[in-house]
Amino acid sequence: MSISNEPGDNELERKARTLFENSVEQLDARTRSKLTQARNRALDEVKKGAGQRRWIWAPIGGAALAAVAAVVVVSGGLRSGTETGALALEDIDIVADSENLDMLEDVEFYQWLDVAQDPHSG
Amino acid sequence: MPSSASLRAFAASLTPAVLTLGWDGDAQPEVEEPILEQARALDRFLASIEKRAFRMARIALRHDEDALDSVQDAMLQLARRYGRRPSEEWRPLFYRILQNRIRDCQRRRRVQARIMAWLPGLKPDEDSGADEYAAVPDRGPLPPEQLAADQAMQTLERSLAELPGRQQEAFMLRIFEGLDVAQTAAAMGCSEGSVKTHYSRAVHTLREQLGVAW
Repeated sequence: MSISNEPGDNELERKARTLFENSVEQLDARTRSKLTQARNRALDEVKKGAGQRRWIWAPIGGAALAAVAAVVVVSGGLRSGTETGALALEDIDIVADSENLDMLEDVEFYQWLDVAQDPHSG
Repeated sequence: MPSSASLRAFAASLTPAVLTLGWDGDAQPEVEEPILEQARALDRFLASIEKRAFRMARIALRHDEDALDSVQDAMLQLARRYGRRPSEEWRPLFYRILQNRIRDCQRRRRVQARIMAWLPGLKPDEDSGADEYAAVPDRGPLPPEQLAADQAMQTLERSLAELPGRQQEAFMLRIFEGLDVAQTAAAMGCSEGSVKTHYSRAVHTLREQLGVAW
């Protein structure tokens, strides 16, 4: 521990350290209590800071989720809208054509045909 | 309209993100346990040094409330800014913050003293609040050994108070806190050579002031 090499320095260091430790042990209850309160406030800060750090990401995460949702909805909506529009026109054509009214007599066959042509349609 | 399959896939892709962000109702966020462990480690560290830190601040400032404020500020700053650093770095960091607080307080006092010198009608702001511990009886008569130790400590404190600030810091950090030269240099924000110089001068001055009894 000693840096200075003068004789008696070790004794001075030892005595100073002993006296200091003794004075620390003699600290009064009020000071000890205040130090404990200060420590608890610092620890609250750690816990509070952790909560704040976690919620800092919440708006960013929310914005990212909203963007992903918008992309999915828009792309899915466009694709299904086009398909729905085309199918509706075909349906109207078929129904409007009086020559095809006889197909209504065999609806189950045409349902099977639709499924067989597009097995992924559900 | 999006198909039900695409909605199901979208919902499945959201689930890990929601869990990670802690938005999952009753689910506890994963960060809780490390934070609690960190708080426990910091609690142990602060409990191990707070009394010595207070005594050192008290010696430097010679005022109980200022010393308590400085230690509390240092604790808060350590928790806020360095709580996530490795625990072995805490001690020099804490004492660096504390030494800065002590210097700030001393500087503030010098400014106040200058202002008071210009405005003789004003008196320094004294703590006029009632002390809830004032009525607590003091400890009883001290045994002779304790009395002698207290008096010796008061003599040492007076001598330390007269040292230049950097010498005082070097001596207290090395002897009272037991930091090695490198840690003391980190706490004081100077080179190891400077620490050795300040410490050596402090010991020399103290030996002259305290005399042969030491």
